[in-house]
Amino acid sequence: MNPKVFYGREKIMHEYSIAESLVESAIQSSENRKIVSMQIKVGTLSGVCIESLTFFVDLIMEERGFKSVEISTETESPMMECECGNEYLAKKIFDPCPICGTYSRKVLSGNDCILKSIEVDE
Amino acid sequence: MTQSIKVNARAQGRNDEIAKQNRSFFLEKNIVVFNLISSPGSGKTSLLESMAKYFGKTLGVITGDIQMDYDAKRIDSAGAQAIQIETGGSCHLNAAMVRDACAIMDFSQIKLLVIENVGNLVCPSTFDLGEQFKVAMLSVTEGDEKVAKYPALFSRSKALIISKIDLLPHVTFSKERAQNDCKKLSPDIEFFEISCKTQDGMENWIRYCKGLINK
Repeated sequence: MNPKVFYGREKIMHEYSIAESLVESAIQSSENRKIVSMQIKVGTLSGVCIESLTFFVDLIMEERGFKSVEISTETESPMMECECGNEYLAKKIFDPCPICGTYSRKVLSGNDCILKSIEVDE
Repeated sequence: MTQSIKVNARAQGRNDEIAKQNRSFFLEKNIVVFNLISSPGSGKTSLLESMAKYFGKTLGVITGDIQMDYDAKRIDSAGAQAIQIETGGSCHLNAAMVRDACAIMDFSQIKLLVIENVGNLVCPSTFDLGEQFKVAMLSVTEGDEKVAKYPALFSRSKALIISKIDLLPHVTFSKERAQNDCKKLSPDIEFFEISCKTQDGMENWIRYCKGLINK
């Protein structure tokens, strides 16, 4: 039969792997100081469920020895570049260009999930 | 006293680095690679079986599932080369999994590589695997409003395949609604309508794939 690749260790939710990556970045940036808060930006096109993400970040931080870390999130609406030259923020995904009224646009942002900053005890 | 530290790290940073390596690898091999994404049961494997009959061993498929290797067996029996990834729980493929699958794939004949992602309309769209583009698939039994409900996938796709069109007389599905919503999210998207059962629309899709290979 065909060769295959098997992964037994992967966690179920995709928010888990995103949370894990944010925690890694936070710990790396903390330079061994106590992390007290994390500020996370979630693009509305990122496909990330904020409740699941903060649940997992909290869980993984605890596993890594950081208790009671305050996690704050903000959402980022996608910035669109219209063919007419206008750039606009699409607060709702089906907001057309406010200048020409069309959907001839490219998505410039709103796809990412970013750890913006952390606060550490000095 | 607390101190604030700016980080600005993308969650997908590590995955993106591996995806970039995968992309260079595919470019070096001169093969066309797309990431096929849909709900479970919309007909991805049936499409790949049909494609295998046209392309034979020049088609490679990396197929992802939570468990079982049914899909790889089906695609292999239809004549293409297939590698199964069993994620063991993860709802999407990531770039490292694709890299590992490529390590055991025989690329000597492959011109077109399709990465059949785990059936899911949300998570797979956010992980770059190193593909050149994404293809979304939506079966008529799922409902025409799915494009609007799951913009993360449809805004990133270069093509939309509407599948199971032989069932159109039996379901309420507006192709126009699905396509219009899709154009709002991805203005240059190309549309295909197929039935794997009757093979309607298959020639058009195969012609498109051949065009990509010969570019």
